[in-house]
Amino acid sequence: MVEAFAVASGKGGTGKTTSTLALGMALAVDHDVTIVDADTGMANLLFHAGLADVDVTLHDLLVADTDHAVEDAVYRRHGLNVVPCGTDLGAFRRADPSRLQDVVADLARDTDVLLLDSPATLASRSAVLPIVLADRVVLVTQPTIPAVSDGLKVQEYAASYRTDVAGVLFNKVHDPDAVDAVVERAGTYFDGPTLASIPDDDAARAARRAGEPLLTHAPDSPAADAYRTAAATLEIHDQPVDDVAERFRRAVIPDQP
Amino acid sequence: MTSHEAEGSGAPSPGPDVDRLDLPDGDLAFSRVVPDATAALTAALDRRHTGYAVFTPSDALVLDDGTQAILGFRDGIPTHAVSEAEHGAGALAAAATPGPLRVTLHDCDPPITRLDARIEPDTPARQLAGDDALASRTRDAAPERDSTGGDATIPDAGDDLDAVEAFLADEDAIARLKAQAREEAERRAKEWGFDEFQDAN
Repeated sequence: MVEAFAVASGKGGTGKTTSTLALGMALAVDHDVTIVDADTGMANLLFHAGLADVDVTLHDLLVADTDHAVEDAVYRRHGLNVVPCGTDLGAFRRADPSRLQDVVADLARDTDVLLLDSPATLASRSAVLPIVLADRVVLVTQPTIPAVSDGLKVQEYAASYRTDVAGVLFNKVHDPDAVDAVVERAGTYFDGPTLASIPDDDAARAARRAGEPLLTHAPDSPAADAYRTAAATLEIHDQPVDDVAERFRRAVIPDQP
Repeated sequence: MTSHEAEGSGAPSPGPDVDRLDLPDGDLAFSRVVPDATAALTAALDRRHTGYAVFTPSDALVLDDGTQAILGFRDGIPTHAVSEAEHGAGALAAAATPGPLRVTLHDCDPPITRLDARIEPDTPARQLAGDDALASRTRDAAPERDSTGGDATIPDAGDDLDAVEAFLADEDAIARLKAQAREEAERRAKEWGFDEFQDAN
């Protein structure tokens, strides 16, 4: 049984990759978790997960007639499976994003929770693909007008593909007490529950500079605590593996981004 | 100089009617439709714009409903904001809708000086453009607050949240935003071939 989530924001800078990794690690206490850098055009996850020097990445799996097996790009780190994208432009150009769906279908067979760190845009077919394919979407937003607007926009895209909202993370919250009312009001416009308000925390920036996940670098920080709260709030709806894998394989082939 | 209201009228009051602001024409320095607010705020900052800017969102262009936000600038730094409904950061909600904006920059003496219209220098970059780098650049370029509070803005921790609260309080605007996004998603689903997948999901 497995459930696939797209972690999406619609805009950059909301801390989506940090959130994907932190939420994944928090969920990994009770589940077998795999996280995938589904933003093939802008590799991020490898830097957050300390995988900057690895040889094989998702890009290598997306090349036609690749010699690599899917497991070659799966790295066991921080208690979960991480599938990073690389930073080499040539590898990116050779990669065919339409093969992502087959790779994810394979990954779905060996995990309980799949988190797809999705592109921070809705501007292309391949950028939207993770939201189309996922069982549900986790929205990462901030208590600002552009971020809430873009979060609502992602929600409407997801709804049009019948992908439900599993929950909303309000990230980089400067004053959690002062922002409570805003988060509560914003939450009334989102279809899923508020999973947590993540305080703006120097620990997250320090973790990023250190190339370590927040939950490893500063496990006792307020932000790390909030991600654990989010994981506890997120209800996993197990789906039959064959159904999830089949849905990924069946998806239409997107354009190059 | 034509001032909207005299400096120092700090008591809360009903929002202004933009058409009746009696703003000077000034010299039109920038007038174009931009995909988002970043280009206009960057232009104002780079050319050290002093005067005001009118932000008209695409909804208002199409519907002619008069929703606009007026930002006051000094030396490229946003200092004040007013809309039909609000003074201060809450006024930014009038221009914070998705899609293109028509922006005009008018060079003149700062026409908006009322205390309750003051905003943080970086609030428009964050709230209208969602651009943290531009917000940081703007804050770095802003002068320190002087002892009289005359030229710089008054730090106000509630500024940003006021704008978000005003935005979230407008249920009709949120409903329009969601409907517009849904329509766009469904149109693109057809373009991208996802419409068939919709039925099967």
